Amino acid sequence: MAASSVTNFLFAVESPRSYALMRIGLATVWLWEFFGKWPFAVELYSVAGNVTRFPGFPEITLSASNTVMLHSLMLVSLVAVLIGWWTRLNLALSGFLVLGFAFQDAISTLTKYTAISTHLLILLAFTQSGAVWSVDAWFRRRHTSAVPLSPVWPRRLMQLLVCSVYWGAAITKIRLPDFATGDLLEFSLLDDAYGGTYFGHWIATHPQLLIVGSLLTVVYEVLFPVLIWIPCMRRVMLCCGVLFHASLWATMHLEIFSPLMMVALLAFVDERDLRWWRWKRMDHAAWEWSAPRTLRVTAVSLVAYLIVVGSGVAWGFYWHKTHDRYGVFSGSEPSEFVEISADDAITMIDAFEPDYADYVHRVEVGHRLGHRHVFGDETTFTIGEVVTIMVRFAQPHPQFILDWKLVPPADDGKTPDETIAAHYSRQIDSTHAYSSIGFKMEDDFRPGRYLIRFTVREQYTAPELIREIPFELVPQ
Amino acid sequence: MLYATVTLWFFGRHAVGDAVGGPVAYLFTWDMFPNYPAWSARRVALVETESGRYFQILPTRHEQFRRGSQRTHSRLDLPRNDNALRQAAEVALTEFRGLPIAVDDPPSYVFLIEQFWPVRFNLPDDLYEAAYNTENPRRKSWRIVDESAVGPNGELEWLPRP
Repeated sequence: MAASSVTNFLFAVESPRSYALMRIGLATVWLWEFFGKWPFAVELYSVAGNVTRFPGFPEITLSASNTVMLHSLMLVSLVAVLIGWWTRLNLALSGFLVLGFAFQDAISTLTKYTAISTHLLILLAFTQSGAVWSVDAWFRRRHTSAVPLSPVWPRRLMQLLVCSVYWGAAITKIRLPDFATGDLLEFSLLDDAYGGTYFGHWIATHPQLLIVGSLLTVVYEVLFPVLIWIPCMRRVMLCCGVLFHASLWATMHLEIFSPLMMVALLAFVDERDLRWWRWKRMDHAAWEWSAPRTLRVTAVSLVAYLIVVGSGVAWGFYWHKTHDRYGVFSGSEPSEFVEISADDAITMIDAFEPDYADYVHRVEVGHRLGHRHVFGDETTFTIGEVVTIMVRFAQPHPQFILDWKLVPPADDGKTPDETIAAHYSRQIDSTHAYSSIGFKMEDDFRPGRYLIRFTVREQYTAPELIREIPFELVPQ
Repeated sequence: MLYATVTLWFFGRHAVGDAVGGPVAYLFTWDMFPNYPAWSARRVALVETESGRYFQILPTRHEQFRRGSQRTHSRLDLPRNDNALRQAAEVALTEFRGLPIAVDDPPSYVFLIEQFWPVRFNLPDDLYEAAYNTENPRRKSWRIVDESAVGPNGELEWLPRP
């Protein structure tokens, strides 16, 4: 019984429609990505550019002409995957080319989402994803109305892939000390390479949202691979997955990561879901294992395919040769190098240090010190309370000396006196990311407007004022 | 079975913190996203000639591809691989040495330089003012990433990185 269940779980056959959806989605995502890179193929992947291959990947020397033709072939192949024409062949071909180009450009093409999509392309090649909504299906329908079924095991491997991606990402985050504080998310959102939509920047200025967002992320990544297997939770988790990746899309510039993962989630969508979405039901009786093509149809399709591929590659090569934005096809003049004035060059070379204030990422003031955050009102304190301050530094930073001076109110109680009620110094090693301090408001302190003056200096430099923190001390 | 075994093996290595290297490990290890930058940066390369003139040799028209949230990062601005900057500078220097100007006034020194600023300055002005109660200064600093004297045949010997 158990063996039968396992066999059924791995080797049953099923409708190919969810695979077809995945095929269309995956090809769309990759065309979006690689059409953007196509005009720059010479720079990214050929010896005429600046190839930076992944360490350990075999050295492949591609001339500019070969690069352009292979890149064009990859795009044509992805279009063929999109429309389902010689689908399996093109899934394997485009998977192979994507992988080769990705490892050829380890800086800007090879990413974790390249890796995920390569897995999906290769696994889809073992399915009947071209059996419906495809040119292949159109050719087939000329002779039979039957639709080939697809084995379920590639979908199981895709599900395993998605689960391992989520758990792997969760393990990485749990290990990072800055994750639970929201700092990893904050800096990621502020980064101008991958972060930073306006909404993402807005979240980055709200520490408590960052903490909640970070925790929800890891909770989702841990729970999805568990709950998705519980039948009553499957659709809920799929909706959570779409919501999760849509929120990443709305807040960060992760290129194709979000749409790609939404496509990957289709591995958990089956024929029942398509019917649930009121898609036209296919007659189960019409499905069969295979529907052989006639030789004539196959020959016509193959010839047409080869003509389209040849034309596409030729046009791609022609476009690059006529535009020749890198001057490699026409042997045109070499690059023009801009002369920099001596003053500007010395400004750059002198390499002056940033202001100390630039190293101070965040200053938080409040009543209570939590886990690397301070909570509570920051403007009013009562006698006996502790004014708690925490500083987050941008790393790397030099070794600092922090000075904290508590300035009491003047006689009028509204303006700070210039005398110092308390003064603390602390040396911060260059490896430290945080520093916190507390000022106890003693019983003999008189009410009024106080000021904490926070300065930073190095051993032999003048202090630089970072921030003045005003607050009201009121009687109990 | 093979695919499932490989997936689970690399997942196990990742779970116990054993960072396996190589292309296959990269394809099966899901460690997104372990790093975050606290600084934004843009990189250039300068050559100083024997007469004391300076030329920017990177980025050139060989670095036209841009990415990032504002499509302003060349590939050399991505911090993943500093060696790529050296490699690109060596290619650019070879091209520069082929110019007539370099025959009369050969390059003597190469600087790989980075303009950088804290990532919080990337905030839009309104959000920055709301969060920090001050105007976004948007100031930038420079630092030398790598430097090397240029030998008589264009050879480079990069100084050790700090």
